Amino acid sequence: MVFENLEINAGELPAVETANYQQLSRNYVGVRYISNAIFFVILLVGVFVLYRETEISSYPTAWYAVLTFWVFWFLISLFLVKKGYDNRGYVLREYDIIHRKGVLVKSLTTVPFNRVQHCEISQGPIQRLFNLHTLEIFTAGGGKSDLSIPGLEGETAQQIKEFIVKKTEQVPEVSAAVNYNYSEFEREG
Amino acid sequence: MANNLKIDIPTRQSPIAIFLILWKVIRQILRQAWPFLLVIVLPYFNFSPSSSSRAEDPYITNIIIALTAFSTISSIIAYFKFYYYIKDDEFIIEKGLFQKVKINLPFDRIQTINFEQGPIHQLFNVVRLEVDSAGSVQNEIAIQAISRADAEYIRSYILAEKAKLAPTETIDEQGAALEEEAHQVLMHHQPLDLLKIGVSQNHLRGLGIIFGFFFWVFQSLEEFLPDLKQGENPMDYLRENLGLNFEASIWMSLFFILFLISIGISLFSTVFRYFDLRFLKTAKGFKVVSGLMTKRERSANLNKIQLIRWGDSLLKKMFGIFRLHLFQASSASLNSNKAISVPGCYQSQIDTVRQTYFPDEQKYPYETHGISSLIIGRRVLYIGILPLVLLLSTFYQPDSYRYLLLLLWLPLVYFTSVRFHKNWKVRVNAEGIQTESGIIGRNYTLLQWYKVQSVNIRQSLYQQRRSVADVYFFTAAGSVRIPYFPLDKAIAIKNYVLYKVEIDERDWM
Repeated sequence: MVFENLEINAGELPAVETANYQQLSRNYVGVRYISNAIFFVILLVGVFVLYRETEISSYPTAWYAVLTFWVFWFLISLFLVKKGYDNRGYVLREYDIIHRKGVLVKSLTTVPFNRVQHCEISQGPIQRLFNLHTLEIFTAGGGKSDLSIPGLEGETAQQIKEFIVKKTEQVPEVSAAVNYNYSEFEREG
Repeated sequence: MANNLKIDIPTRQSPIAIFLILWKVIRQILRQAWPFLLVIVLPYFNFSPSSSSRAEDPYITNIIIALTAFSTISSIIAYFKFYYYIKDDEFIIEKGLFQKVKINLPFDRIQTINFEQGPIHQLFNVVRLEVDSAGSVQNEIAIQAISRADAEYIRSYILAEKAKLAPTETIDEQGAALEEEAHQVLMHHQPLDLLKIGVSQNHLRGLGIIFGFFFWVFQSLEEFLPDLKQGENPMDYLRENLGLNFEASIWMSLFFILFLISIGISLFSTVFRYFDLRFLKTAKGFKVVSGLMTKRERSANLNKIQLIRWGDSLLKKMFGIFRLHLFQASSASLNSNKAISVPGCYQSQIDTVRQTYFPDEQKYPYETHGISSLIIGRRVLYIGILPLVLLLSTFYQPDSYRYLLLLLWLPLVYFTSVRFHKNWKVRVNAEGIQTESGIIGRNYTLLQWYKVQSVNIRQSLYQQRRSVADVYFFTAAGSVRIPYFPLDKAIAIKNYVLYKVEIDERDWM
């Protein structure tokens, strides 16, 4: 047992780590590849401008180094996109939603439903090609604490959103019962 | 109220909104791009007589025309793509230039609805309607321009429906704030306290400003000195033509004078801001009143305070004072600065605030944990070795060994990192957490679990290999971060906090 002084044994709580993660739509890999490709094409244009406008063309070694670097990073990014897709996932649990992502920096965020402020479904131009949506879940904690799950099919996004909205609306009923227990607990103590 | 407004049909804003959006877009462009604009515009204000090619270049006019066209068109599109309506006890906004965005805001999440009237609004008798949903500063939910009658109708409609949903809840904060409430003076600063605060301020900032100024003057010298030869050092010029001699002693005394000036500046600003500071405990929370010319009054409602932080520095420790910060959740419209800071608090005031914010703190025993010692190595690498390699490669001189003095940086970083690791303490109990950190001074944070909004665990590649993680607890005002916490502890504490947040139904504000 890691913490001795907590109310309940943290080891007995449902662990996030064992939950079954839902993957995003397979098409989301496509979205990522396209936006990735756009980025690298722009970068390549930049490299060519560099070639035309500066004296780098008279230093073939430097020029090859820049090109190799570009190819190298492009390949790495392809690998990261695939890996990033595999690592990304979400779980809806009874009282919260978990989102994990990242390859180089792994991140796992959990937002309890009773802290959700509102939800939004949005869609960028590339996602629109694949008919995919991003579900954004806002808390009062601001930017970093908010969840944003991309690559959801329209229906899934809508379903999750409705599920969460229903959960957040349920809170007042639950709260009465828990408050009662809480005050009981206070009286004993 | 007689109003034929169809509230459930998607409606556009008043056309005045186009101007307001345009104004917002222009302000945003200016804010984001001012360094670039400065670079473009500045050459046109070159006062040296040699440059005669002013305003002949159509470059700048083109940029301005393009920016104006872009902002106008995007504002018009934004206007036509913006709809608001009410459906199923939700306030809904649809908008988006390139991204379609639909925001649903359930009535029971709406905190307040505010009207705002700028000069343009007043001219056309419209208001800006802002729906405050506690937090989510990034995504403002506001109608730029709407007729006053419509706005009032929407507000009364939403508030009436909201009241139906939660009949016990009546919010009248404006009215309550007006009545003078009984208070207890926790602290009333005397001139001596003011002096302590002033002296123990961070003078480096003032010093930085002064250095920046002198650097700028030095840079500008080359342009302003009339017959400075190309490539000549302005210092040499001054020495030869004005008889100024820059010896080491002069540099030293100059530095000393600058240091005194910077202390003077911080003293001065301290007196201005914190003169006659009174720290009050009111029925609803805390209040700070201070100021020489203008009295500033800032209050923090107890239930809106999310976490508290206090800390000292080397000098503050000698005086036994702390600077206290109360982080309160506030609506986006009220103020961007969410933390109220109270300088010059003594231990007794800190204890009172702790006791008020977290009444049961003493009831639950704390358990103290440290962070992983791996952080020492990481700090030495990132703050010590990497910058050093850069510095050494820039300052390398083959004929002098003086640059090797830079190597002293390494033991300094190592020593401070060891202290950093040793001083980082995580104290956990059933209801909250207290962290302590700092190399010379100490910073403390106190957070009750039920104020947490979400929990995040992140691991870099290195941390993944070594089974440590950074843990973040986000609240509606600020967050608590535990760096390099052992992964098993991080997971256990995260699960526990989520459990606490999910069963605890006390309102976090």
